[in-house]
Amino acid sequence: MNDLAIETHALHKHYGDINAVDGLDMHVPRGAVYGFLGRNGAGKTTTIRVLTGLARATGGDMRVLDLDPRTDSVAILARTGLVIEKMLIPSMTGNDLVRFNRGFFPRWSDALAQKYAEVLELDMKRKFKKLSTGDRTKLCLLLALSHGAELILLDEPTAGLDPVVTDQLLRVMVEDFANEGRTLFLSSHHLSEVERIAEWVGIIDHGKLLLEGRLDDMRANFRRVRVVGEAQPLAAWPDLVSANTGEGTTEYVVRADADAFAAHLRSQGATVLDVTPLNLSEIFLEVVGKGKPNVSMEVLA
Amino acid sequence: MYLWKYWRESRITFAVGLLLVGLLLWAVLKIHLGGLHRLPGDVSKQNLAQLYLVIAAPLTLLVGFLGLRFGSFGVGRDLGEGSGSFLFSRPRTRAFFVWSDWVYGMTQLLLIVLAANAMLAWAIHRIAPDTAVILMSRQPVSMLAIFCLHCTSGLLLAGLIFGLIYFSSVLARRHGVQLAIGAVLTFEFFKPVVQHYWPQIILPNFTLTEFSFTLSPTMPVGFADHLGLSIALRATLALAFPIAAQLLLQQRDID
Repeated sequence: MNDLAIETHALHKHYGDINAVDGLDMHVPRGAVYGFLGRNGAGKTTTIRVLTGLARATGGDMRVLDLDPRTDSVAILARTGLVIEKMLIPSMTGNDLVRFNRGFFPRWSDALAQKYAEVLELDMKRKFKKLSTGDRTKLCLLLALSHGAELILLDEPTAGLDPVVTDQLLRVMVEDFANEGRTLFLSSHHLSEVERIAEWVGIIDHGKLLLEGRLDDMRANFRRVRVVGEAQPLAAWPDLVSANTGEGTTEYVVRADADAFAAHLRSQGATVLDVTPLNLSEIFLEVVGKGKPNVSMEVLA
Repeated sequence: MYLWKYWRESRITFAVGLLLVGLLLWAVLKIHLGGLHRLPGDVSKQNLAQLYLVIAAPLTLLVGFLGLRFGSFGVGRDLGEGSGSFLFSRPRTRAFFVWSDWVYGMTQLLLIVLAANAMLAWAIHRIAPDTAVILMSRQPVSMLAIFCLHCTSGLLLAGLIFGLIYFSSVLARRHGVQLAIGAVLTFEFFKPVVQHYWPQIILPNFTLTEFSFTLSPTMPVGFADHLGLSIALRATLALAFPIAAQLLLQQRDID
């Protein structure tokens, strides 16, 4: 059995002239909580659609749970919980939707569904169309989590939710799902939430994966190096992500070997003021926020 | 599961359909015969044929309308309501959803058509209990044959409209019904134009009236010589729409 729950190689999805997914190389380990980060329109939702067979790939290879979504989408869907549109059948109540969903999944658990309904404080007798945005998302999550899926794919699950509901959802995801050794793939642009639960992170922009690796490794290796004076000619430094000059100092961001980089700067006569770590939000902004052309795809781990 | 969902969506239409069929039959019989009582003396078999035709026309319209309603349920409706991603992320093939819709919808339409014709046959039987045959163009035709012919005719019409609406709902989502009705009206509008300018071209009648007219006293019985071919062609056309819907769904990205 492959150690990867999801693997893509040079995956493409084009809509006319638009490259929604443009040569995506992604590796999601089994049992991981994987945060799939990107700005609006970066290609996150399209990637999930392609991985589940809802959309057809234009090119490239992919495997989901050792299966090819182009030919085995039914088998993949049987083992996958998916939350993508947050639009269920409007005229059905929560109980109706449970009844409807149950028949598709042999491992469906009514006990789990009831438990999630209680934990998430869902009114299961209310029609879906009359639920608030938060309750709709909760119901989608309940349906995705209650059938014993090996893989959960969540597209922006916390979009539009208040902090209390967001907290409830994250707790459910981590405590009741990720801790059981199943794979949780979470796309989001809410970095603080991903940082809270994800072990692995992939950053996508313009359909390309710019960065992928363990979050701890990123935190350990990404550093901001601040020096006095103008930027040095360091274009050849392999781990340099960005260099910005302003008000008498220059800030460099490197993705690895910060100490060696600082030593190199000192050897060039620069005065290094400090070397500081970056949080996920800062890493994300450095990788995609400014669109630096010198950022290349890098697998850290 | 999926059967339950389709039944849940269509059950009111099904019940109303049955109710309307009953009311329609009762009203027509009441108007034409003054009620469901035995006619005294000898009943004209020709009149019974006329009665069958009188009742068949509104029944055809009603069955057509029900075909329209049933065709608007299922996958096309879900796509129109934005729940297509949810539906198609259930672990079944897209063909499963299309043909489940088709089988469930057509089964309900079949039951309505059978019920309508059974009620009609029962009414005729009550009026003239000894009648086994009635006259069509002065030719004896058995009641059973007429019953089967009307059931087939009604089912084909319902299937054709059901399939057309279903396909157009998959194609144009929430505008599918309007698209299908527009297509039918356009066809009906241009048919007399085509017949006027190119009389050698005979376009089929969408409502299958020439099929019904095989029972008409004003048309020769010989018109029914191609009955089998006519049924086969219309059944093929009725089936072409769900097949097209399946192919369309299999090629299309669900969003």
